[in-house]
Amino acid sequence: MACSNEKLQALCLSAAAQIKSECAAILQQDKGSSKGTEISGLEGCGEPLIQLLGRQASQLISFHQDDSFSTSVKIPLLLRRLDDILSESYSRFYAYLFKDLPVRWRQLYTDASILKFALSYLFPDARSAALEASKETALDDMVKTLDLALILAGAPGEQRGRLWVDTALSLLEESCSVAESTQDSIPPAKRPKLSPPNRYGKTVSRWHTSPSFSTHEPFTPPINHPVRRIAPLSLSGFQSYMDSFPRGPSPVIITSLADTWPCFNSNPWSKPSYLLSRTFSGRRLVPIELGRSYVDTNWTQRLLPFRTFLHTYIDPPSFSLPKTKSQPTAYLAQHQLFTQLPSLRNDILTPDYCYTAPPGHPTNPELDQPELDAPQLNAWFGPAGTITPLHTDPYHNLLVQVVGRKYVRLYSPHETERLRPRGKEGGVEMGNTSLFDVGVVEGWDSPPGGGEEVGDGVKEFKEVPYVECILEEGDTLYIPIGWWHYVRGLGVSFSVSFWWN
Amino acid sequence: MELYATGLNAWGQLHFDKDEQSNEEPDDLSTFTRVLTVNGIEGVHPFPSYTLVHTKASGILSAGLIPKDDLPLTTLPHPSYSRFAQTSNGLSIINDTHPPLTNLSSLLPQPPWIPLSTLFPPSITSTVTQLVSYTTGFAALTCAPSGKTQVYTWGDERYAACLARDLTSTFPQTGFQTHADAVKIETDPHIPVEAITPGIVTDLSDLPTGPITKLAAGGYVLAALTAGKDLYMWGHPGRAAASGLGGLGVSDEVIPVVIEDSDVEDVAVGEAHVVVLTTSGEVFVIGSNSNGQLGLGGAKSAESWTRVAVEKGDGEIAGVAAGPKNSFLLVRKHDGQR
Repeated sequence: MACSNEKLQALCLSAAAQIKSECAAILQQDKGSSKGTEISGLEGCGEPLIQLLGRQASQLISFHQDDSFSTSVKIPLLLRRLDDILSESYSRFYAYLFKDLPVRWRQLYTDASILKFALSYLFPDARSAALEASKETALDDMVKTLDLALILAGAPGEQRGRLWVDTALSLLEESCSVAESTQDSIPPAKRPKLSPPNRYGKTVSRWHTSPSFSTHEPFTPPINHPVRRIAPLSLSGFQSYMDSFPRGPSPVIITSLADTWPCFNSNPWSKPSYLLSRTFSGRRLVPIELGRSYVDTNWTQRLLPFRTFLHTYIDPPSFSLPKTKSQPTAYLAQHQLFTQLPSLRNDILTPDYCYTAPPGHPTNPELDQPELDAPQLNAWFGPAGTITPLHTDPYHNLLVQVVGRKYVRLYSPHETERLRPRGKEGGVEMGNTSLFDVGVVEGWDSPPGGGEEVGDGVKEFKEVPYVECILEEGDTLYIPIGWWHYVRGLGVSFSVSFWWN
Repeated sequence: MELYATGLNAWGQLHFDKDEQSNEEPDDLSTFTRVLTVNGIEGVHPFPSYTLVHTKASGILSAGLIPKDDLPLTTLPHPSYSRFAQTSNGLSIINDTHPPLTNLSSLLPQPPWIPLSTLFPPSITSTVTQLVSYTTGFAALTCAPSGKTQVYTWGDERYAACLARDLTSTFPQTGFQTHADAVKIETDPHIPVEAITPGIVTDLSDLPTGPITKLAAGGYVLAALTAGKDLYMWGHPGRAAASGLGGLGVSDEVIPVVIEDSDVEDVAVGEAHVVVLTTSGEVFVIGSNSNGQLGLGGAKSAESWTRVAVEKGDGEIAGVAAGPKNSFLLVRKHDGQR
């Protein structure tokens, strides 16, 4: 325990020293007229911000060397200056389209976050006093500081970046000795600080006895045009399947392709207590979509601690209560959770099928994306009633159902025009999303604004052919590139999607 | 005259007294404090990390950190500062039709400065009297020989509310370069030229209290002042609210701002705060006080227009200015000193 403490202290101080020297080197280079090789990803943030960041790093180091009262009174200003840098870099995230945002602003955000974390960790008392916060919320805040860098900024940086953040978080978790426990109802502070964190493998039986998510489904749509279900194919068999359609492959469910993954067995994602144990007792922050569907006007996104998300929106389940306006549907959707939480990544495997050579877009080659270096993983975790509106993605997709069941309806890319893709809305391109709301058209949901708005062309829309399925635990749905899909969580549901090309 | 200031001082940009400099990390000011006494102040120009004060007798005074790249900008005469502007997403525009800016663009470093003449035909460029920027775009004020003024806006279409105009009302293209050409915006065929080419804010063309005399902009909020001392504002409601300016109630529609029925003498817009001087000499503020920029002491922010008491002796406040996170008041003393 002392060991992880010392390691984390050293990690914090070495990051501060690195930042200090990188900033000094950038300023030194700026004084000379010649531009040499890049010293740091921070270059280009401008002399004032580099100087300010470097000064804060330098102060942090000197405060640590002289930890007296006269330094402790200076800590609140240091913290405010780091917040100033965070707010300055964060404002660029809005000023630029994310794809055009220079990486230096994301690194500046990350390095300021690292210093802020280091300050909180190295001077816990001074910081708690400054914020009038308890030790427990201080710990939550420290985790939040680093999670924001991961989620908002993507934690770039060669010297520190994601690797530093991941290391710091696991050392912090160790040093807090927050025992992974099945009893998630007990606040972490009251747990005995005895056992070191358990690693999976030893603990199968304990997850076995802890409760699972509810399997209640308030509504289950009928299936009239089922997607074909097949047993796993060999790699070459799957390649032949994709190549066997002259107008592009059709969706298919591959059964029992994934059911040996740890997430179904030793490390059960169906158990809230297991998920809490993998999220620093639920402290880790996750991006949550609030609202019925991302095309609705009252839809928003928030960052919540995993435990808040779980306890407020998923478990205990809300099925016994009528859905009220005050409790919108919350969905952890299209989030690269496994990059943020590497320990959960070990519970799943990348299907071999992602290493095949799939065909391009069947109708519009312009939509083909540059080849991904590796399959892109996203997590989809939410309560009953989550909806992803009818849309299409520029990748082939393997959607693996890990917990609960989901309804999926699919339309061929050849029907694109009849699905009425949206245009640009509020400066954001929405052409990959249909104007039609499958749930409303079918009468499963009331229109988002209330009232009778069903809209034009519904009759024509209902004539467009489609296939549909209920994805069961362990099923893998292959969604070929360009296929439009509408996805609806029937009960508590956790899926993983793999995009590849 | 005296200069009072409050707010962000991370680079010592409120410390004009060089003797007082020390190795201590400079802290912000949370109330309006006298930071400079000097005769004949012509103008105050706050930049993110430094402040320039133009004086008749003592030349240009500065405080804070002037980045090397900005040095060519710090020796210009006072009127030049309404002729160039930069956004936070890397766009910089310079009205190079007036000396001494004519040759300046070549002296300026990256990012490349776009001459205003690439956006407007010459007949209009020559009438531009003021150029301001907000986070993702620009506004320009033109004044025709007849005295009639127009306000043009252009910028990122995602925050189109800051443009306060119908995007189809864009200035007709007559062979001059579009903004898109000028900045060589990479190939997003989805970005409509209408948003990033200057267009007239027709709501400001014919106001009851006369032509526009001043523009101010910052963050996602813009302001225009008329000859008859009325204040009009507009901006992006979502971004304004997120930054702490929700109380302002701006939208894509230009609205008159009424503060206790007072006429407005001057206005300044920061990144997330607004400072107004009324004709009766009172200062009102609204928005974020994260760094003390409102001068309200410890308050976190002001949701509505709040009067600030300024301990300024017997002087009279003549004007206001704002940096991204700080505020300035220009005070003229009564004892005959100018």
